[in-house]
Order: sequence, then structure tokens, then C-alpha cells
Amino acid sequence: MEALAVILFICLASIIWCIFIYNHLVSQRNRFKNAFAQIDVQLRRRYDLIPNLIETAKAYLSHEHDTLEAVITARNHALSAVKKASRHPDSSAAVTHLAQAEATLGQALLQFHSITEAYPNLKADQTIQQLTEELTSTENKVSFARQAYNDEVMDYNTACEIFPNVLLAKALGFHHAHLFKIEETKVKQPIHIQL
Amino acid sequence: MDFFEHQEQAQRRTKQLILLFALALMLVVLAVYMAVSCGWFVATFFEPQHWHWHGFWNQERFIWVSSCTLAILLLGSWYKIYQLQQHGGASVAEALGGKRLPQASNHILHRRLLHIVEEMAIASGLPVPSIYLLEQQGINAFAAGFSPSDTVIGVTEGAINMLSRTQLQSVIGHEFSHILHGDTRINMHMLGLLHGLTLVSDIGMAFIIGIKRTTPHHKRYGSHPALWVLGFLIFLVGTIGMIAADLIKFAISRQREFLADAAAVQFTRNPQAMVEALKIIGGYTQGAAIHHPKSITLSYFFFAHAATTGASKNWWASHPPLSERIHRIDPHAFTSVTHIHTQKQKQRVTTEAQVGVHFMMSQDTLPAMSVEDVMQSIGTLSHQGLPHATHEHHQFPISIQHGIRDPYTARALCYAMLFSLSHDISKKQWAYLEQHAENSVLRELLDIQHDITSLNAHLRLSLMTRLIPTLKELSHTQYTLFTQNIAALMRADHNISMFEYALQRMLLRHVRPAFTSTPIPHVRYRHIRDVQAACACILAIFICYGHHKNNTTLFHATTKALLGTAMPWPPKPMLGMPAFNQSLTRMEHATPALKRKLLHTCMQVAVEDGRLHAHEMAALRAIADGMDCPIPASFSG
Repeated sequence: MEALAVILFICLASIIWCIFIYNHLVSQRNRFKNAFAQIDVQLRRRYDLIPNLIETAKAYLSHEHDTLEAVITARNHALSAVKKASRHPDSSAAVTHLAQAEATLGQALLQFHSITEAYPNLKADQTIQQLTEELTSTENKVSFARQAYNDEVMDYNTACEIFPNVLLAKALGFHHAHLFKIEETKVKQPIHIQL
Repeated sequence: MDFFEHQEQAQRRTKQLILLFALALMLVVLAVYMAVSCGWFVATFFEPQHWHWHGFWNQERFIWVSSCTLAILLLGSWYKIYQLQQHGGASVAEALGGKRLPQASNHILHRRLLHIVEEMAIASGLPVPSIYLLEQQGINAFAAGFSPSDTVIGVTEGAINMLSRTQLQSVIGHEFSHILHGDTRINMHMLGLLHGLTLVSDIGMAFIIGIKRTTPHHKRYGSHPALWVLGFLIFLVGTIGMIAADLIKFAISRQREFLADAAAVQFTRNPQAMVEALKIIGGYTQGAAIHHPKSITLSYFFFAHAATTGASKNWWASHPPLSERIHRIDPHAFTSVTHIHTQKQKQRVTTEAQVGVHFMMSQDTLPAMSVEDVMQSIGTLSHQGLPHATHEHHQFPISIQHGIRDPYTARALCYAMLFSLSHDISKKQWAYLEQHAENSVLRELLDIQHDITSLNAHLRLSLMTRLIPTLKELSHTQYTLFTQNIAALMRADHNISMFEYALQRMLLRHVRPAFTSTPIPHVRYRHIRDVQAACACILAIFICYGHHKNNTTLFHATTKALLGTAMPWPPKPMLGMPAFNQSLTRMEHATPALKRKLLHTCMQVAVEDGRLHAHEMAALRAIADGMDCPIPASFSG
């Protein structure tokens, strides 16, 4: 009778312990999934701006058709990648794919900007200036949202790897989540603030 | 009934709930004992050499059974409440598969929802709650949370696709009335306690399934009929717990749906929209269905009957039938529902959202104010309040309007509001932020700093309230840095005013539950003498803030009225911000009646010179918010 009670007690305690770990991991996973929604919002805003920019630039850049086409293609790829990733923010493949698409788009935009340097009229266009400014601001916001997402992913990964949790994480279906890293295509410039 | 009476009633309801829970516990213990005895009896037949029948009543067996059952049940309840405390209302939303709707969302129907919720919150003086979206086609909504700070509102996709702006507003108004009446808190407690009750049936199930699995390997135990019988009986017994849980839900929740409908109509002054919303639910093929395993357990959180199985007309159903609800709102309304064409309705709603109906109002309709008016208005929402909230939104400079929903600019806005007017101090504050804050946030700060200085006290308060859900989207690391920076900005400014202090306190208090566990608010101080020092401190600081002619005399008079004895003017340390903070925290745990008394006295101080100044009213709202007593925004002075 006593033995049975002890066994029952141990079973109960270990079940409760598993539930604790499981719930903790679930809430961590929800956190980083929620954080992805922010990236999603900012990226979509950015993808909405790009066609406008290209459309306006077309008037000046009739000879640079290839570059413009490359930006649009890269943008479309990135848009479909973000749609896929927002449905499954916990899938490393989707997130990696999005990061690659983003890097390609970054390259294409860099190419576009280097071309615009040669066209003073284009640079002076009011709409282009406004759109470029908005694009830059959105890019900053993307990087901020990315930072938030990566923070949460790191917390989640740590939660999966620390000692008692690591025994259960895999078995309960919690896999390592992927950081959203984009290869930087340009040198970051320090900001000077004047009072 | 005013706000404070509603709060008191909510507390009484919580006590009733605990009493009912205790009764149900006793019932379950007795049932488990009977089941165990039956199992025991069966066992003596099969293996008489191991098991001895000691008669139906056996004290030792009873003690064992009751202590084990109680331990399991209470542990189950305790664990659930502990878990809910970790994330507050958000844990309910996430359990239902909800996703947080990012404040910066561009989708037109999402933006409409964000605006409706924000308007309601500003108009009623509550912190703006986070919104969770459920990917469900049924039309439903819920509110969950222990306190206004951790409260979230959940809305299904069906609701935002199928309801027009005014209809959705009625539904959201219904949820806000649950928040203001303290129903959401009761729901959270109920969820925790009932989890223990239904645990028994879950365990019984585990026994049966567990035995089935081990049969081939452990023949001796696996085939033991007593264990199987025990498992089955425990399951049966568990159904007693389940039924008890359902009855408790019924007793606590059903009537208040009528009350919430009535309050929503009172908030929006639009009974027609509420009737329409209910009719659309009735005529829509998906109804209010939530296809989720938890929808039955959490049925009482929802706006309308969410469970997909079982008839909604059962007398123990969590919600009264739609026709009855329609009848109570408008006795002359035609209660029969007609079929709704889904695609057409969706199209209609989208078109309406794109056209964008804005009703503006002129400044002069602000209600006249007396002390009693304001006291009565706490925890309600006037129909003028809603357009007022929209109007207020348009008073912000464009850069701020855009920045409110962006977690990136939101932080810059908070920093900017804490900048000192003195040049020396603000220089120090800049130097600190340059070192510690993110570069890009600093750049935003430069852009908006000028706009912030033009805001009056009332708009600042409103801005802080609007920033809350956006700041909840920060990551843990960003949040930690943010709070450190806020603390440093506050330290740098020695002459910070009571209002500025109250603002940042309010902000941090409401944002915190998204990152750390939520303390469950409960009443600790019941008598005025328990909070005497706290009241004196708050009053003295409030009097100082109002620049009255004779502080000491006013203080004597008001303390006499409030506390029964005239108190001497408090010493200097009692007028500092740490003392103010402690006093507000203490008042948070006072009974609603005590809060009302203090706020009433503060109001009297504010109108002492015959006029109510806007800055005093704003400060009073900030103080009231610290005690979770929302004063509607339409009383802006």
C-alpha cells in the first residue's frame, strides 16, 4: 500500500513537472511568433513602397530596364517569402528563405541607388525623395522589429537548451528556432546628433 | 449602481464563487470516496487474499481518499492560477490560439478594430488593451485579465469581416463593460478554480487509457479489473466535478450578459447596432462558433455561445439565447433572424471601412462638471466620449499620430515626454540617452521632441494611455533597456512635477504585466485608518500641485472631512515621489469605498477655488488610474 502511494506520488510529481516545462516552452514560442508579426507589418509596408518608387523612377531611367526589373522581381520573391514565413514563423526554412530573399532585395536596391547617383534630375524629384525617405525610415523599423524578434528567439532557444527542459523539448516538439539575420550590404554610418 | 458599487459586487461574487467551489469540492470528495469503496468492494471479490472489505464506512480510507483528492484538486487550481498570473489575460488569448494584432498593422479592417478599441479605452479612461485575433470564422469576442493593465481583448476574424463599424463597436462595448464591472477578473479566478474540478475526470481518463496501453506487458497489473473499475469510476466521478463546474459557470455568468448588453447600449447610445450584431450572429451560418478544443472550457469568456457541440438552448448554457438578448435590448424588435449572405455582408463591411465614416464633434459639447458628475462618470463611458477620443487623436501633430502605433517611435515619445524644460538638465538627459539608448530611437527623438513640448497635460495623459499596447510589443531585452532609461531620465530631473511622475508610473505599471508576472489585485485595507498616511500624502501632494492659496488650511479642512481628524501638514520626506509612489500602491489595495472617498476629497480640493483647471483634472485622472479607477476622457477640463 505504501509503495503504491509512493509510486503514485512520484508519477504525479513528474507529470506536473512536465506540464510546467511544456507550458513554459509554449509561452516562449508564442512570444517569438508574436514578435514576427511586427517584422511582417514593416516588411509589407516596405514592399508596398517599392513598386511606387520604381514606377516613378521609370520616367527617368528608361535605359536601366534590367535594374528596375531586378528590383521588382526581388521584391515579389520577398513578398511571397514573407507570406509563407508569417504563416509559419517557427519554421527555420521559411525564415531562412525570407532572410535570403531580403538580402537579394537589399542588393538590388543598392544597385538601384548607385544608378540614381548618375541622374541628378531623378534625385531632385520630390516624389522620389519622399519615397526614399520613407523607405529608409521603414528599413530602420525593420531592423528594430528584427532585433525584437531575434531577442525573443534567443530567449526561446535558451529555454529549450537549459538543463531540465532539454530532456523534454525535442520529445514535445519544440525545435530550435532560426534567427532572422540579413547579410549587411552596406556600411553602417554613425549618426551625429547635434543639440 | 456606480463603478465602486460594481467593484464591491464583483468582490462579493468572487466570494460566492469560492464558496460554491468549496461546496463542489466536498461533493467531489464524497463521490470519489464512494467510487473508491466500490472499487475496493469489487477487488475483494477477485483477489480476496490481498483485499479485505472493512465495510462501506472506513475512517482510514476516508482520510486517505479525501486528502489525496483535495491535494490533487487544489494543486490543479493553484497551478492554473499561477500559470494565468504569468501572462494575465494574454495567456487566455494564447490558449485559444489567438495571435497578437500588431499595432502597426496596415490591413484596413485591422486598423478599424484598433481604432474602435482605442476610442473606447480613451473614452472610458482605461489603459488601451492589447488585441488578439482568433483565426475563426464565427462572430465572437472576449475580454480577459486580472486587472486593467493585463487585460486583452480577443476578436475573431469573423467578427471583423462580418460586422459594420457600429455593430463591432457594440460588441467591443459589451466587452468593455465586462472589464469595468470586474467580470473579467471573476472569469480568471473561475478559470483557475474550475480547472481543479475538471481535473478528476481527466485523471480518470488517464487511468483507463494508461491501463489499455500497458495490458500486453504487465499482465498482472494491467488486467487487474479493480484498477480499471477504479479508473472508470474516477471518470464517472469526474463528471460530477464537470457538472458542478458547469453549474458554477451558470450561476456566476449568465445574468451578467444582459447587464453587459445594456451597458454597451448605454456606452454607444445605439441599441439598433447591438440588435443588428446579435441578428447577424443568428443568421450567419457559422454563428458564434469557435472551433477550438478549449472553447467549451472557456465558454463564459465569450460574447456569444462559442461551443460548437451541444444545444445553445440548454438551461445551463453559458449564454442566454440570442432572441432573449435582443428582446431585452429592444422589446419591440423583431426577434426572428434571417439568413445572412456571407460574401455580400463581407463586401458591405469592407466598402464601409474603406469609405471611412468619421463623426467629428465640436469642442463645446463637453459636459458641465460638478464633483458629483465626475464621481458618477467613473467606470462608465458617455456617448460623447467616443467622438471625443477621435477628436483628440486628431489634435496630435502628424508625426506623433503616426508614431503612436510604432514600437520604435513609441519609446522616443516616452523619452521626449520626460525631458526637463531646464536646459542644463535636458542636456544631461541627452548625454545619458546618447550613451545608452539605441541610435535609431535617438534619431526619432530629434524629430518629435519639438512636437511634444506643444502638448498640454491632458493630451500628454492621453498619449501615454495610447502608447501602452505598442510598448507591450517590445522584446524583453528592449523592455529592460527602456525601463532603465526611463529611470535614469527621472533621476536626472530633481524638480519633476507630480503629474510627470504619475504619468511615467502609470505607463510602467500598465506595460509591466506583458513582461513579468501579474500580481492579482486584492483588497487588503478595509478601514480608513489603514490608509490614513497614504491618503494624507496623496492629498498634500495634490494640494501642492494645484497652487492653492493656503495649503495648510485646506489640508486641515480636507483631512478632517476625509479622516475624521485634522492632520498636521506632513513633513518634507512625505511629500517626495517615493512616498507618493508607496501611497498610491497602498491605495490600490484599499476597498472601492475608500478609493471613492479619497477621489471625492481630491475632487473637492480641485474645485476649491470655484474652477476646475485642466491640469488639475489631468493630474486627478492620473492618480485615479493608479488606483484602477478610470475617469472618462470627456472630463478633460
